[in-house]
Amino acid sequence: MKLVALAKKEAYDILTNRVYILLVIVQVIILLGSFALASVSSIALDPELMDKWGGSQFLKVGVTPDIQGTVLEKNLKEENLKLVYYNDLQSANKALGSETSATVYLKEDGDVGVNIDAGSIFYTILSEKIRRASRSYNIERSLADLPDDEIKRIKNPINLSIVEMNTEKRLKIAFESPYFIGIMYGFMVPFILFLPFFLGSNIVTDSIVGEKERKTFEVLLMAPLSPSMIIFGKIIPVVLFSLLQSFAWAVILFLLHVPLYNLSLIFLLLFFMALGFAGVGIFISSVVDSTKEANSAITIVLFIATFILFVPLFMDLGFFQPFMDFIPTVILVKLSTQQSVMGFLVDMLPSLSFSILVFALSAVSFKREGLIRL
Amino acid sequence: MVMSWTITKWEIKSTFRSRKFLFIFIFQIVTLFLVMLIFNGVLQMMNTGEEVTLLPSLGEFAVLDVNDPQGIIRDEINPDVVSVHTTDARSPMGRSLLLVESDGLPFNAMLFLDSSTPMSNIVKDEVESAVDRSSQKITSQIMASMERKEANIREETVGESLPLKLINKVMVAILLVLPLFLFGNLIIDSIVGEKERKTGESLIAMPISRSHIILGKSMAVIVIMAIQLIIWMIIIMASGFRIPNAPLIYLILVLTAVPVVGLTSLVAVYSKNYKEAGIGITFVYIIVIGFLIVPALVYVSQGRGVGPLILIMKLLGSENITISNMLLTFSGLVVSSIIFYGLALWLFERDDILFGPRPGVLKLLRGLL
Repeated sequence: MKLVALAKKEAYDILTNRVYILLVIVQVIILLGSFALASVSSIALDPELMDKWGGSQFLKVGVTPDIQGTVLEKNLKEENLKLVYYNDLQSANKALGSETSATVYLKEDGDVGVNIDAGSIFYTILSEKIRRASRSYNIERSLADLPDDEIKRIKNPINLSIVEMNTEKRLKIAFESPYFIGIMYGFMVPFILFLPFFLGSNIVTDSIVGEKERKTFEVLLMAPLSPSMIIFGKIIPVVLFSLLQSFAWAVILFLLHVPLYNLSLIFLLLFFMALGFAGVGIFISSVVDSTKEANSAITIVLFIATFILFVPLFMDLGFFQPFMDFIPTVILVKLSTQQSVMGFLVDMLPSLSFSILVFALSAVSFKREGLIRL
Repeated sequence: MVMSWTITKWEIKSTFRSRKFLFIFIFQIVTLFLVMLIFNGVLQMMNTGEEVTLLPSLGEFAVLDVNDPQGIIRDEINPDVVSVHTTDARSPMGRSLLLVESDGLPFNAMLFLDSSTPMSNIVKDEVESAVDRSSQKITSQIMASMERKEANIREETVGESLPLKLINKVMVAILLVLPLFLFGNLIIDSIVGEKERKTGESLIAMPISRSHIILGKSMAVIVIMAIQLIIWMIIIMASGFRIPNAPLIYLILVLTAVPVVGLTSLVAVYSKNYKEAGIGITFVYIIVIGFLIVPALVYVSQGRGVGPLILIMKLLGSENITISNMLLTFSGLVVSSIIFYGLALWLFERDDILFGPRPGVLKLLRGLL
């Protein structure tokens, strides 16, 4: 009962704190902002999505009169490029960078010449489309004396057919683009789901160190509550608050068509991470005397945690690569994208054990420090 | 002015004596070193022609079984994107499988795609790209064997590439502006700290005007920022980045620090405690950074605009700067400084702000008008 009373009081403090509510809103903005950013950049980088969403009208290519009526003109149009016709190469190049993003022309020896604005946001996509059209034109020009079937066979020496399996288990995704999936599942999902726990450790230090500063901590220690009850009373609402936020973000992601697999296992992992982060908060609270000190310490700890959790998603760690499978964010990416959980449970064990260890050590430290300061 | 300078000296001394300040100072420098290391890595990749991607490496997550004895497609699959497992199975064993039959042209490849995972999109895209790359090689070989000339595509790029432009100009400019925002907490510490420690009353009881207190404290932070800026510029240059017109850039940065510190002082004077000041400063800095960065991005895409960051970017790119550009930027800095310091001093002169009950923002605005 006493534990419940303390937990209720802490929960009330959290829910009535305008700063925490504000930070929850900030997280929603981060979530929606990152989704929008990933969507826009996916469209800008994916030729198929660009065509599908009508973005090709921005891909303006200046061409010279010698292109007109050629296979190259046909190929460029088939790539959904908007051709702007100029009287000569000089005028086409003059418009490059302002009216158009590239100029395509034929050289005297028949080679295709391309001038392209490297500073254009569509540089990659434009270069890919022009290269494809030009290459096809070049091959057809070189093999003009051969029958059409033979040209086609040389141009396409590999027939790729795709058979989709497990279509009944397929979940709808906002953008079927490798870039979108890479950035969302490979970074945004773990980042967004971990954010509440970063905030959680801050709430723990705020709560304990705040009591120290207001001189109510001694009163709390004198209350008929064991140190363990104080710790649990302080962290239960924080862990629940963090898990609830993560769950809400998972629901928002689902509504945005970024579905996550293995939600129950993900939340098991997040629960232990929450314990670990709360443990860090307790440890810092037990060794510092002011909110200022606590904020500095938590900033450094979270900086290191960010490095350990997110750098392995982007970099080859060389010697440390075999340990990558045990990093919580890596496990989270695997869990959220794959139906089969074989092997992941074993990979989770070191993270879970580490979190429990951090929490246990922090609790011991809190008990000792708390008593000493009385 | 002498009074303000006394406060300034006192603040600078106590700041440099603080172990916490020195720790943060060193921590920021270490972070800057790390950032420069990453930038250098990206630039090196650009110079060697490697594809620069800011995408997470998903090679471990997107898995594909491949039955391709001759390696026609397998050898073209990027292992950083898809993790390839060679197999001799002819039907899928629970995950995506690529089966290649290489008994005469055209080669037949069949991709059994496991649609139950979002990673199937990455597998599909990478296999299609690998097929494309392999097809190009085979076509070139066939044409060479037929002694047919494959015409070239002569691509010439005009202007600086967007990633290079972003790193060389925008990111270096942002890094140079960053110290102005990292030391916001110094002025908060200096003004709000007096309120929290209850030493503010003693300070204003001293024979010094309230305006001189704020100006002295602000000046101290500007001096510390100026020192920090020199160190950051040295680190950036030592990391191999060129900073042309360094003295002029330094002058613009220090002048930009004046209104930033003024605005921070304004927030600090109005705030009751660290918490309030922290929230206030976060929001205010987001707006200020927006004011600096949005025009800079417009400048990158459209090539026009005015502002301190744009001026720094132009100087970094050794571009021509017109007198009107300079005048507009400097007058903007002067006007905003006058407004922010004017408001901060006006608030600090008010007893209700210092001793309470503190009036709301709307009431203050009405009073001001």
